[in-house]
Amino acid sequence: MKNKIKLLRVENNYTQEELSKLVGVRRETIVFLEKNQYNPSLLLAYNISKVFNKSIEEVFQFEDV
Amino acid sequence: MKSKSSFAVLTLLSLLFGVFVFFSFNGGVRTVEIVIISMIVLLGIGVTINTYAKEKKQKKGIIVEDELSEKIKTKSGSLSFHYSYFVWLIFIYLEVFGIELETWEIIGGGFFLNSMTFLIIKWYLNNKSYEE
Repeated sequence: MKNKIKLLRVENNYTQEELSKLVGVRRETIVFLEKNQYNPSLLLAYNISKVFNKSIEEVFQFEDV
Repeated sequence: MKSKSSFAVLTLLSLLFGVFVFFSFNGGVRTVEIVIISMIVLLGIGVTINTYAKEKKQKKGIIVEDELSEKIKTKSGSLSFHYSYFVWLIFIYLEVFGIELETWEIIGGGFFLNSMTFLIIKWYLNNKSYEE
């Protein structure tokens, strides 16, 4: 699963620290997410999408199995 | 108990006290025991500093625990349990190669190496790479 978190974060002028506080996770988790090294829970994916006013599909790109 | 850090300090002191009492009843302290005590002290200091740093971050409003940290903790535990088999295997091989160890040295060494394995894996997953 890939995502556009870094792109959207920069577009919205958020730092990693600010975004992490908005969604209730550690800054390190945002780092892992931006590197596509961690697949978030549905709740975290929903919270991140909500911060950027996007749908989950717009932020996260699911790969077909 | 006021805070986690004071709990950590109290645990460390009780552990040290227990170790000294144990060794004083078993014929004094030898070099091996000094090494073990030093290791326990080092581990204890590490845990205390870590707990204190976490508490300081929490006071500043920084999130210290989340879903990823929980997953890392679980994965580190499972991996270190897996590798612990090899730790015990090393001790068996030491016996095979003629290095005689006392029971408490095997158990103590095993627990120490297992906890070190856990800490190293946790550090690696936290700082280098976490792949699902």
